[in-house]
Amino acid sequence: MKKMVNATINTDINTKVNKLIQDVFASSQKLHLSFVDNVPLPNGVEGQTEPPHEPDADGNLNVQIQLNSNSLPNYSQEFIATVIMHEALHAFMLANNINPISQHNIMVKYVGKMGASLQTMFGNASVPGGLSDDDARNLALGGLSGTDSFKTSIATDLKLLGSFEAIQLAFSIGSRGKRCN
Amino acid sequence: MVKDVIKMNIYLKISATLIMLLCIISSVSAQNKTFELPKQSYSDSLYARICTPIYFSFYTPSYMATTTPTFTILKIEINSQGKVIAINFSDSADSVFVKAYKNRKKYDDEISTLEKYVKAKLYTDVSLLMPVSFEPKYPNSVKDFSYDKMESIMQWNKKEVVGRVIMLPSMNIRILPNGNM
Repeated sequence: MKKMVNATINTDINTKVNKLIQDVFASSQKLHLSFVDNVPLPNGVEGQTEPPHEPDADGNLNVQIQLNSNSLPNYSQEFIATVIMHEALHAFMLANNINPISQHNIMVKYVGKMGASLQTMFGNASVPGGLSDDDARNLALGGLSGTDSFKTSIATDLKLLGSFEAIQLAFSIGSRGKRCN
Repeated sequence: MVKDVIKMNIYLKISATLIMLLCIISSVSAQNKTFELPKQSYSDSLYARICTPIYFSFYTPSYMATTTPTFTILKIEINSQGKVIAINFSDSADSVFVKAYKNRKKYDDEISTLEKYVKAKLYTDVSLLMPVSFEPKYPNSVKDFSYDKMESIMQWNKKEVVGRVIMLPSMNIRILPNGNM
């Protein structure tokens, strides 16, 4: 795993993702995340989580997340953390037999929580280099732009300021966010 | 009289403020609430497991690279004992997609899952038809609605289905230009 991705994983993302799962779903199930970058993913697909995710004897889930080794090493830690969070939520829902077709529509309801988790990791607007509410939520919306509610109601519901596309670009191929080099 | 009007105004202002406070409190509590995964029946859970390998067929590198849309019907033939005797996509299916589905990773014993579903639904001696579509480059996907294509949606090796059929919920998967679903 390359330097940038490792730096994000080292931010204790396991604990943060577990806290998110507990906050969002009130679940006591724990996720043990591991990461691989040995599967070629096309440009634009930053991560993927395939089933199965059967609970172990203690009821916890071992989740292997595939990360895009071409693009992610050049992206910010905030963006990489969002991808990991998004994939972990998929893993949790797959383990609970939620139809993959419905998962993004479920996830889009919890963009606020995901944004708050990102702010816990990277600080909010009061911290130098931290994420504003709008930045955090626009980041959390990554991967959800294909949902029906994205175009119709999400910006209004979340009272979002700033362009989703511009913020996604700024934290990926742009220069915003924490970078290693 | 004037005093009454003033009193009334004060009551109205207090009421309006209380209503506004109640709205704010309920909106804050709505944002903080945890989310319960959708309540699912046993058969819904099994159906989600049936959909999962079809959904993840997309991630086969050969199919991910294609931009050919697929609109097809998966036919699952069930005999009088509730056993699965054949599974085939209709003739309209893109050949790369069919190959990707056949060569997909096995997540669990899919036939066994199907037969549990059939048993839960008390289906026997029937063909289950599941419409499946993958629409790459949504919303500017290739639109191909020729007569031959339409006819091939309901044919399997050039033959129409015979006997009792049950239509299952469809799987319509939109793939955005950046590869996200």
